[in-house]
Formats: sequence, C-alpha cells, structure tokens
Amino acid sequence: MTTIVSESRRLRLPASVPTVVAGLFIVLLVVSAVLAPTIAPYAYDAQNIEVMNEAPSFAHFFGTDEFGRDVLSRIIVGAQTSLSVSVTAVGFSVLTGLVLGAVCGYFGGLVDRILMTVIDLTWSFPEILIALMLVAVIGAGLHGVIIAVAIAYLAQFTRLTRTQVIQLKKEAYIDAAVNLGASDFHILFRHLLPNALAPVLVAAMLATGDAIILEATLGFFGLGAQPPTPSWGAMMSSGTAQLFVAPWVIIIPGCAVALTVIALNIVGDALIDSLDFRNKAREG
Amino acid sequence: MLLSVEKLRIAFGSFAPVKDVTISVDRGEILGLVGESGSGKSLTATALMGLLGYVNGHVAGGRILFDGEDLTCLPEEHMRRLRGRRIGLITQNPMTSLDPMIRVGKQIEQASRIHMGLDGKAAYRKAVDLMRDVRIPDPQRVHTLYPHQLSGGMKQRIVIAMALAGEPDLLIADEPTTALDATVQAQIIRNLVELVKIRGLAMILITHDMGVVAQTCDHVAVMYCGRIVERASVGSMFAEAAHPYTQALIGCIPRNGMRPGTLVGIPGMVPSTAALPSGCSFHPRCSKAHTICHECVPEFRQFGRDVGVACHLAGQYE
Repeated sequence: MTTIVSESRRLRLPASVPTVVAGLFIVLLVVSAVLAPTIAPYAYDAQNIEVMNEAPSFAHFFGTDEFGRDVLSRIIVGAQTSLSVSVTAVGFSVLTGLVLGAVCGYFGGLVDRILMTVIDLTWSFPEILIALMLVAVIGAGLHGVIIAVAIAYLAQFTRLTRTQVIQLKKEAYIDAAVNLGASDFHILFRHLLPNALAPVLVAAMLATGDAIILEATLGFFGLGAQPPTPSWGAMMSSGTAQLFVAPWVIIIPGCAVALTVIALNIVGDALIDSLDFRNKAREG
Repeated sequence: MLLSVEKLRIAFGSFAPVKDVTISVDRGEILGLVGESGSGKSLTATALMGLLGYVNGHVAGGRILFDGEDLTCLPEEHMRRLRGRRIGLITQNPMTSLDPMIRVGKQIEQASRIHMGLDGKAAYRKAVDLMRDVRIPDPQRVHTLYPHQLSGGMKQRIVIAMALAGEPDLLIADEPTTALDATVQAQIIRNLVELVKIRGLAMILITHDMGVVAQTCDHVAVMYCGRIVERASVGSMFAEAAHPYTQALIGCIPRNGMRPGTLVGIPGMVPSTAALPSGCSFHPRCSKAHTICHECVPEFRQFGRDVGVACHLAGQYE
C-alpha cells in the first residue's frame, strides 16, 4: 500500500527525422495558409503583362503564370483554400461518421443494417466519382466541394467508428457503467466514443491528405474555387495550356499537393504508433 | 426483509441454468452466496440487477421482491433508476471494470451525478469522502489519476466507492477479491464488512471461499447446479452442516496447523448444466448417496427456524 502510483505516461511521438521534417512542413504550411494575404509577396490576383510566363527568379521565386501573376503568392493563398476545404470537409465527415457509427454499432438492428448497406454501396464507387456526381447536383464552388468531399469520406469514418464501438461494447467497464444505471446516451458519449476516438483521429489525418488530392482534382476540373480565387487544382488546370512554355506553373502546385499529402501521411503513421496508448495503459 | 427472492428460475430459451432459488437478506445483514463456478451465483446477481436481457436470458418464474416491489415486472426505465442508485454491484475484475480514459475520481462521481443530480463541487466532495471511506490514501490526489496508474487493490477500492456513490440499500459483491493478492483480499473484505455495518446496508457476498464466509456473513446459501442446496445462519452451518456438499466445502478450507496431505477436495467435477445427472445433481460426487438420490430430486425442507436443506438424507442421521 505504500506505492500506489506508477509514473504517468504521456503521449509521445517517435521523433524520427522524417516525422520531424514532415511535422515542420505541415506547421509551416498551416502558418502560411493562415497568414496568407500578409506574407504573400504579391497580391494573388495582381496581373502584370510585362512578366507573363516568366521563369523562376529572385523577383518571382516560383515564376509567373500566363497573366503575369506571382505563382508563389498564388500557392500560399491556394494553400489556404486547399487546407480549409479539406480540413472542414474531413471535420464534418468525422463528426457525422462518429455519431452514425456509434449509433449503428451500439444499437444494431434494422437502422444498422440499412445504413451499412448504403455505406457498402458507396464503397463500390471511387470517391472521385461520388464527389463528381455530388458537385454536379449541389453545384460548383467551394461549398459544393466541401459537402461532396465530406460525403465521399463519410462511409470510412462510420465503418471505423462502428467497428470500434462493437469491440468496446464488450469491455467490462461498459458493463460497469450499465450496472451504475447509466443511460445509453451516457454510455455512448462518455465511455464508448472517447475510447473509440484515437484510431478515428489517425484515419482523419490520413483522409485529410486524400481530401487535398480530391479537392485538387475537383479544382482541376473547374468545379472547386472559381477564378480568380486560387486553388492548387485550378492552378494545375490552367498550367496545362503552358506546359511546354512555362512548366513551373503546373509543376509547383503539383509538388505542393504531393509534399503536403506525403507529410500528412508520415505524421499519420507516426500517430498510429504512438496513439496506441489504450493498450499500453492496460499492460501497465 | 429488504430483498427476498422467491423460487427464482432463470432461463435461456427452454434451458434453465438456475432453478428454484429462494434467498432473502435484510438491512445490516450479509448473506453469503456460495458455490463452485457454474453453479448460477453470478447469474442470480445478474437477475437481481435486471440485466438478464443483456445476456439474452429471462426470468422464467418466481419473484424478486425488493423493498416491496417485484423487480421481475418493472419496466426497464424504472429498473435503470434502481441500478447504481438502490442496488450497487461490485464486480470480480477491477482491472477491466474502470474506463481507461476517465480519471478515477470522475468515475466515482458518475452514480451521484446520474441519479442524484449533484453538481461539480458536491460530487467532487462526495467522491473524496467515499475514497476516504474505502481507505484510499491521499484521496484528493488519487481523484485526478487514471486507472492504469493504480494497483489492483486500489482499483478494487475505487470500484467499491463507485458502487457506494449512489447510496444503495443493497450491495451485491460478486467475488470482489478473486483477482487480488491474499493480503489485499483480507483488507478489502474487512473494509466492506465495516461499510455494510456502519451504513446499515444489506449485502450479498458471492464467493466460493468458505473461509471468507465464516468471517463475514450472517447467513449462507449454498448453490449447486442452479439450486440452493442449503441455507442456514453461519453459526449453525459451520457447527453442523446438513448437506453433504456443504460439509465437503467446509472440508476444503485449509486450516493453520493442518498436516500435509490432509486437505481434501471434492471428488469428481461439477456436471455441465446442460447434462445434469438424474435425481439429486450432487449424487455422483456424494459419499453418502443412496438409491433414492439417483431417482428423485430432493425437495427443499426447512429444519427449525434457521436451517433449510435439499437432501433426502437430511434429518435421518442427526
């Protein structure tokens, strides 16, 4: 009875070099997206006929596009669009998926079967196809893209949450809560969801990367941000015309998408390793 | 009587693993419910909590009278308000009975928040008081810890505090110390008995340890294969057990100064509840079995005010 307390464990990311670099990249990206208009060297829509399709130089770090607009400034402001759209969409998706998955997993029955059938159906289509159809119905523009991307990823989070809840339902501490006379609502939101959250958050991190690609694809098709608002997808789309004259116009936003997604995936993988704290806690 | 269970029968479809259980317990009393694994002790507890539905079972007969109300006919919503509020359950495994994501103090507060609508400060004060009652050192600090930071004994104290938080009238302790070290077991049991006596609770102590029963309980009910085979006050049972099974269980208690090799077990195995022997379920393992024991199920008979036995031979060789 003398020592009742073991030393407390904290969530710790394994600090490997790629993880740190990827993490720093994401921080840099988020900061520049938030501060976009202030730190961009030029206005994103400032046209200058004298410097059309100019190669990267000290004046224009990433060169200029067909209207003489500074590509770096457009990448920075475009980051704001891409990140806010994909994060908002995945956020909606996670919140809805958590509630739907929790209800399905906890109560089961007819609602569960109907919802799961619909979700299995949506899984037989590629996300891009679902998103395209949805944007066609809702209409182009950022709102349409956010809703489309959110729905495209909904199935994933609903399934994941449902599986987690079904597993956790068998835990003794859930029985203990039932024995205390806790209501279904209390058990779901105080006990099941907090315990189911970790893997869902990791999946959300990885899905944000996917969502950036999806958003860029929709932008490439001209369904996302409308000109002159820059988005990485739309920039690539307009760059295709100058592919041989000014390749940087398409390569730079392409690299931005690729690097962001890779960075998100690396950090997501590191999270998978470290967020496993529920099992670690049980061993101790 | 605060709780009296009359001829309780629990069934899963047409299969009835618990038949004809009659027990009662009053405030300030401790009833020991004793038997080997699979005798239906825990299932009886589940029925008292009104949770048979969770394991797809149901009450197929008999009554559970709790403070004048028959729990077997209460609607679920009403039953939920009794659980944790008027009937508290202490489970076997403290290692897994606590939510790993919630501070233990908050978990103790749950019952008082759910059932009594206590606000933050009042619930906190109550949790700290309860932790002091279950002998947790430095309760303010332990309140902020997570389950994985506590030892098994401490976790079981937390589980007991959780069960007490709703200020129940009846406490069901289902093998509360099975998972703990022997030294901690004794402390926890002593603490439980003290709490029951001070607060005037009724407690059903489910155990397979006759030693614990002898030290703590007022009355004992011995279960075998889903039936009560003997019911008596602790004094008369340990002075003169009537059922051969009870005698054998008492014979299994190790005593100080016993010579090596003198501790006897009960021969044979508990029969599977799906394939019970004919007649008295205990006859294949009973050293005194007669022909009648193979043929007829013995009726439960009362001997005096204190003792009841389900054995054909009871009363014959006294």
